[in-house]
Amino acid sequence: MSRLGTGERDVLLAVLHLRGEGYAISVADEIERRTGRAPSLGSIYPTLDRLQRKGFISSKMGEATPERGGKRKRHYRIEAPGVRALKESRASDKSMWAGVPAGVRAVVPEGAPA
Amino acid sequence: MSDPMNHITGLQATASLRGSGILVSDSFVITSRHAAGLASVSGGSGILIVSGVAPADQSSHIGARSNDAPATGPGDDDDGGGVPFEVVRELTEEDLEALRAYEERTSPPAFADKLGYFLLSLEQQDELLGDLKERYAEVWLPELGVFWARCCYVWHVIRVSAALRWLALVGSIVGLWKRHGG
Repeated sequence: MSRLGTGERDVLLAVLHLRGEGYAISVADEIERRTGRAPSLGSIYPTLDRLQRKGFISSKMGEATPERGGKRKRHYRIEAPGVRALKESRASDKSMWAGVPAGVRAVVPEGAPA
Repeated sequence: MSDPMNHITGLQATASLRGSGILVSDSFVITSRHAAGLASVSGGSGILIVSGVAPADQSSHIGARSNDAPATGPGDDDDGGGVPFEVVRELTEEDLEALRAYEERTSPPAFADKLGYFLLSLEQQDELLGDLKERYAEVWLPELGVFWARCCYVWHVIRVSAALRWLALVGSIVGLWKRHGG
């Protein structure tokens, strides 16, 4: 199982939160809403592409709509290997934090950017 | 509580009203009273014209993104949802003409799409250009104005295409390396 980078993990979690309705723009918006960081679209597409190649997510094309200039939307959903990768990533995070003195943990709250 | 029949929802309307143009869209959820026809709605400095067919049982309070579009209808907007509106008149030929002119003036540059067709793979074209058009209409155009919104659109087409091309190149090199015993 290949390890998840931070960007991949964020995208995967956003796809999970969006429950199969996520597409690139909504994934970027979801990450911004939850982390306060606005990822560039230029980084979202390659990450989605990479996650799909790894089998962590799957996608299907939706309907074309007028506000998209008649272009269709690609919806992403998480797959079982993606869920496993997230679990491993979380376990790995936990084990890295284990043993860190409580004082340091208080200064660096869980989930804070480096 | 306002009369739900006096609300439209679905609201790219907010962005479009701010753009002070005229919009015809079948993507709005409109109430059953207007389901079969066309309704012209005054709003802000432009005219919002809604056309399309709404599901018969559709509630009128779905998914408003913002309440800051100007209200001209009899209803208030305290029910957490749509933009109040008032039916002014039927859609006219002049409205359509003005709409065409507005769309021509504010649409994303066509050459950027052509660039996208060259740079992107077939399966990526729909997704990416569609996403960028959506962001253009909903965010860049209302916030930046036509000129900068267009610049933004071109920039993102180039940037995202380059990122995907780069990824494909790296993937090919890694594939070759693996195949030849790396």
